[in-house]
Amino acid sequence: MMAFGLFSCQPKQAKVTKVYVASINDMHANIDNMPLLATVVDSLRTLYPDLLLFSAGDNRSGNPINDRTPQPSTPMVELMNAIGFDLSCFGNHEWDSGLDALREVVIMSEFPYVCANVTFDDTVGIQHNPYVIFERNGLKIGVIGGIQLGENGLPDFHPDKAAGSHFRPFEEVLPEYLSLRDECNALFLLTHFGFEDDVELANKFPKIDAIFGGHSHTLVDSTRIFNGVMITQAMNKVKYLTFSTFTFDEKGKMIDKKSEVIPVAKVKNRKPEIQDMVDRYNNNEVFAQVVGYNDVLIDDCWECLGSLMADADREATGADMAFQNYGGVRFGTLEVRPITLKDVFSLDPFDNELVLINMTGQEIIDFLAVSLFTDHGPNYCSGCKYSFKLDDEGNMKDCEVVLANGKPMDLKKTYKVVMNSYMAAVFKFEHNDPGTTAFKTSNEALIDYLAKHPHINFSKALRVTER
Amino acid sequence: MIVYVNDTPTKTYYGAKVKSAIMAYFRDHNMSPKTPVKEVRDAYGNRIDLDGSIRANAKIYFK
Repeated sequence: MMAFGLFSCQPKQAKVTKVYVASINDMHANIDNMPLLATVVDSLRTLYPDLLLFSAGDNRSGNPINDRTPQPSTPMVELMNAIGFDLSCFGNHEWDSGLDALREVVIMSEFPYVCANVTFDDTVGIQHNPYVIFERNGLKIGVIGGIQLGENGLPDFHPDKAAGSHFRPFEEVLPEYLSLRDECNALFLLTHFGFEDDVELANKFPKIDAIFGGHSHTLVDSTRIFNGVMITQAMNKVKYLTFSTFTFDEKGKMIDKKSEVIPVAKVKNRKPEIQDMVDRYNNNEVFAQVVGYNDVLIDDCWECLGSLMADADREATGADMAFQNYGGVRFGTLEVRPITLKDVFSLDPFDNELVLINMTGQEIIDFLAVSLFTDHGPNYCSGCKYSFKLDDEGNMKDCEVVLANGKPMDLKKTYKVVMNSYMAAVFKFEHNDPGTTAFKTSNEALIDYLAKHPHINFSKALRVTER
Repeated sequence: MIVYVNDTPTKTYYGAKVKSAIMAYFRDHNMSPKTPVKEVRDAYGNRIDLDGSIRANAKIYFK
């Protein structure tokens, strides 16, 4: 009787429906963690068969095994297909191998790409959608994609990559799609903007239910709601996965949302089928790929190879002069033989981006003196030669720079100088222009240089003299 | 551009990553570029990776 009484007093259970989303971002081709991700996703799908799996862009760039295959990004696309991704947006790095490569990535992918603020020329042939609508348990879930734009109106990539792509500010574009909220039970953004930009979007567009973000490599480790909009991000390189739960009442109205992160990198079990794929990629011959030929022995000449690197940086950016720091050249001997990708990444393993700075001649002189002190050796150079004396304390003095045209550098004139991001950040030199990234790493510049000049002779490329 | 590292205005180049901003902070404080960085957080208290992109006037905190 008592039991009956208790039973009868219980409120009638309201019927709720849940939608589950797993989201990741900025995987940057860390294929070694993909078997761990597969284990986590399989576990979630066992519990929640209707799970949606999203990537917020930058699936590639960061691992030559993926990025330098004959068809760039094939490993990541095959892995994402095998794991069962439902959707990705574009990150700025998706453009890194050019539009032809991106078109092939989109064609190979067994999931769609969303991005509302990019269009492509018809001749490019890239098929993508501004948004997609999923149906789960009778509910409609709209997802709009977006990509960040810098001050130049382009995503963070080298402007040369932009040809054939046309971008609009996302905040201009988004209102065109907000009516989706009325026909869907939930409206999400899948973005590659960075966390702070996502917060700004949330503050301006409260109709959005959640933003699955990327780009700033932020770990949002618990439910974070701004102006009613939940924002997630799972750091980078497949270290974490965000798991979000959205609860709807019997009328299909969202009544709760929450997210948590799962530390993928700490999972013990690797899904064997995915591990087999990764092993196959890692055992391939990518690093043995020949990218050029050294025609004359470079025999213990670090400056020769530093000059090669500086020439590559200068050519990649169109700078007047390039400087390569002494400590950034990692070997000094190169026999007469084919140059492989392994040689390039051994010579320059740092993945430092190139930075362009407009500097006066006097600022360059000061920079060279500071570099000698900071890096315990003189910078190697391109587009100029220079000579200097040392004072009794080992500091540079009387530095004279001669340009490639044979004329002395004008101390008052401004020159376009390129250096790597380590030098730009660490060397303490005066420069009015703070500089701008060239969106290209120095090792990428070297690979591009060798593609244009496959036979090199730098055995006598000596451009720096102590008088 | 200027970013705020541990609330100190720090000059770095446009498009810099978190790592470059912290190295610029080391430079300004005459610290070794090899100084260990245990953890970096943004203005909202989220952890961020050294490879993360930052924008002008961003606030980051490291220890």
